[in-house]
Amino acid sequence: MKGTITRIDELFNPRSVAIVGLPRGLKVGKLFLMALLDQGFNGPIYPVNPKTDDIDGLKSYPDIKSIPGPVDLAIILVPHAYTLPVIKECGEKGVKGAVLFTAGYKETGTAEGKALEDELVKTAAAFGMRLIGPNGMGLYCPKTGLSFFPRLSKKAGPVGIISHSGSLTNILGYIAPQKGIGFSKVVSLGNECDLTCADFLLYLKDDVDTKVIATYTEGIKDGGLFLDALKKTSAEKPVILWKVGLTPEGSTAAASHTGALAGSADIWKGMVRQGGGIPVAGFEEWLDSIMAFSMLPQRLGKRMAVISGPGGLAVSAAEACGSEGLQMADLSDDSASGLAQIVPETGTSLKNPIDIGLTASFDISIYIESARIASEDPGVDAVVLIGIGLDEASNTTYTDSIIGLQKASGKPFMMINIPGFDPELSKRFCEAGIPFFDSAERAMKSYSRVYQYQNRSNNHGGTNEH
Amino acid sequence: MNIDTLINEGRTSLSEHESKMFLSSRGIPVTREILIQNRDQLASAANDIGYPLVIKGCGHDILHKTEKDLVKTDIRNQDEADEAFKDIIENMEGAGTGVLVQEMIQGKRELVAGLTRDAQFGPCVMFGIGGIFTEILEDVCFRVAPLTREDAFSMMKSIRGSNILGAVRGMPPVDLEALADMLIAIGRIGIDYDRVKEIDLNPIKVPDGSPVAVDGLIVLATEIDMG
Repeated sequence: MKGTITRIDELFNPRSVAIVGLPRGLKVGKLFLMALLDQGFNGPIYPVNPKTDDIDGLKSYPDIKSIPGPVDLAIILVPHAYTLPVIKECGEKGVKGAVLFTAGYKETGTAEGKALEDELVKTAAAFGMRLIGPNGMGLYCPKTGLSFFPRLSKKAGPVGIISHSGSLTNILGYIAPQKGIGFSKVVSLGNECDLTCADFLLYLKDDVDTKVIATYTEGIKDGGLFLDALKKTSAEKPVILWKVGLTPEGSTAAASHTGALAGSADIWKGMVRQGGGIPVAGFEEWLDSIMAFSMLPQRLGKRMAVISGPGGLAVSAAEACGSEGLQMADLSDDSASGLAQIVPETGTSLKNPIDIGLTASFDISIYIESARIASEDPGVDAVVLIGIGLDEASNTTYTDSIIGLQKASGKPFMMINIPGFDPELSKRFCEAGIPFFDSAERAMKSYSRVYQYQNRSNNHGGTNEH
Repeated sequence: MNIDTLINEGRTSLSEHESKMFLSSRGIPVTREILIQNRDQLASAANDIGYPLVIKGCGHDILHKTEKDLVKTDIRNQDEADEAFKDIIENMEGAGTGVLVQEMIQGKRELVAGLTRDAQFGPCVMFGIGGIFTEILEDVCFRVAPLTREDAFSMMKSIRGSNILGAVRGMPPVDLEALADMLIAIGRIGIDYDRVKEIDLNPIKVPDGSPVAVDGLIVLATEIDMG
């Protein structure tokens, strides 16, 4: 039997896909066909439905064995009671892997559900076939044209996603273009009857297209395997971990202090630290971290220059900088005199955070010149900009100029939203590889995560977990 | 003492003395102590250990010793020892298997270490700030066993109160290598003994910087726990 990693790679690069139980009409299952067509899968797609011989212009087959060519990946939409013979047929056909979309197995808690699931796994294994799911949506890979939902981003990129939730990956896939995020390989795992989160971690560890990995997990099947996979993968690439279900339970009748204190959240926290992963809580942190890790360059420094029109935001950005363990850069004398020439004297501050005042919104060149001065200062590692012009033309100039400046300087820039800034322009920043955050607090936190990851060998366990 | 024998006897926990003998056999430093059965043995045990002493009621059926007034500390002489012994026997109300005569460990710093079993990750080692307020302060962290040396050191940095391990208020710094040995040894027990369900070393004190377990508890898994 082929190794798991080779098998997963074959599933992400299938020559053909069969959709078993594809409905004729517009039912949920139709999404899988729409998704593949929309993403532009360029191999044959074989609908399997015994009640018809044509679905949306594609020839439909009564069963798997009637399909003329080889089938690498099968998406199985039939109800759980009909799955077992389909799996057997797939195995006989030489299908390499199947996605089980429907639920109704072990997760129902019934003995029948468990028995059926065990039987499915056993049957598939006998043919060397691997299973994703049940209750999973399967694989999404812009490069090979795989998708499990229509209108997901078609942009290939460095981000690999492993998720227990299909809907979250869909939401991420929708938002991604706005945030400049592109995907290498995405899997919606479901209930892991066969292939697990640990398997996909190890796969993405070696995948050349993947530079950043983010996971959303609800429960871990085998903790030991997961930790081992996390350690190996984190040593190579950042692994961003969002875990739900961490509210205290268990630990009820513990006889010892240790037992009473051992909540699942505490153990998860320790395990993540041990495995070298990057813990996040909630969708916003997950998204921010994915964006930051996929855009910020190697060898980040911690000396930040903050340039802001609104004074209050300048101060709060500086505070966030400190609380995230970063530093406000000391500007050089040259920078100070350069700023003094362009920034009005009153209502401003030329010390970092550089509060360039309200006038800058009328004269957008003040923003641009200040950013240029800060980016050229050898004592500045990164530039954080909180700015907006009064009209579309000045905001467009601002966007184009800052993108150009960042390219010229090679230093990381982070943009902070001011309500009213055109989302089309913020998208342009992200497309240019400059992360655009909703607040300075979120930007500093994300930057700090990347900085800490890059310096992880120097400060192993350097901060407390609370 | 053989832990397997006790497991086979159907025991669900070890006494403080049994726990410490086992922990000591695994390289974990514990207090010097002698278990005595009657008053005739008190004087010689006290002389062997040396004043000042701690005298405790001991038995696998005894939990919450402090609450039951079964711990007498800072015993300076034979008279105080006699009185403490008498009180403890009375307070034990027939429970227990003897009285522990124990060296009194100096030191204000109190740490905690232990072992628990997680449904997903198996045996996990805990480390943090110990003493009677352990549960209130909740300044502890966990790592999945077995621990590497790096894991053990990362635990020491992961608690809020990690500075307590340094040279504070005229106290010598804690011997972190010795503390790491202790945490690694606890994890090893979890790996080697399926039937050890929980371990508690609380408090661990650090006289002259070297950590010593002053109290110890081992909880064993029953047949039911083992599924």
